[in-house]
Amino acid sequence: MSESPQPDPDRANLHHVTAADDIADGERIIVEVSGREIAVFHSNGEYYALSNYCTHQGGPACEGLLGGTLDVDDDDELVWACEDEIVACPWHGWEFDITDGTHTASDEYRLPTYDVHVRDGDVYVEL
Amino acid sequence: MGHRDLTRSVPDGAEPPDWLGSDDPYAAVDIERLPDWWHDAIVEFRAHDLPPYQPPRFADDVLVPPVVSETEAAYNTEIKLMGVNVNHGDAWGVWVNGEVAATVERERTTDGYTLYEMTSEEFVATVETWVETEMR
Repeated sequence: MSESPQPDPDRANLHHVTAADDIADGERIIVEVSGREIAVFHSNGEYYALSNYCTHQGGPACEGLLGGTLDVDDDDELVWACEDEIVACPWHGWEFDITDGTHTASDEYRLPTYDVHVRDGDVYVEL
Repeated sequence: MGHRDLTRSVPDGAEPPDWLGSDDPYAAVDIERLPDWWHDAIVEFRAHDLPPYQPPRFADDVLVPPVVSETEAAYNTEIKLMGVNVNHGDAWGVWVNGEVAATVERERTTDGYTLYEMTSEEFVATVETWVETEMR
């Protein structure tokens, strides 16, 4: 997410989504922009935008459960991490990190991501 | 209000070409000749090894982006097809100038495009009704 410098909303590649207040923390909006579906997540105080097309078979990747994942801490113990940062495609369960679009199990797959700008209380995505 | 009657015609470029139904739809297509929104989506999908990009469609098989653009221009409005805090299977909203004018069911088909359960004529009529009611 970028709040400074302020984006120029007249830029052709900047697309208005909605008022920032419409996306509470932990929630998401999915919007069609220029023929593509883009999910905007508000998670842990940050905004992230990802493509809503799964790299597996084109399913609606960002419409599934939003949760966390198991990770290994410094003591090699399994810990629950990344709460509200992992989304699972509802078709076949492929999981992606909403902060960077990467598949949780393979660096081979990554959803397209977009910069999010917040200006004067409105959310914009940059394509 | 003197607007052109968009419900009785399909905008240029909104009818899906025959080649769009093939497994490799862009194999014999010069994508540089497609509209920018379409070209850019193809390029992005290719860059991420996604299945070939397929534009969203209304229930009457009309492509969504040209209809939305033309309707926005005709009524001088901002139109969004958008789901707020939605889960899989939830209806989305047809948002006009930041307000929900109607809800619309939708699904992602196995061919990889979104199909809205509203015809292009119904979509335009929804916007027209909203404009005549709310912007009078």
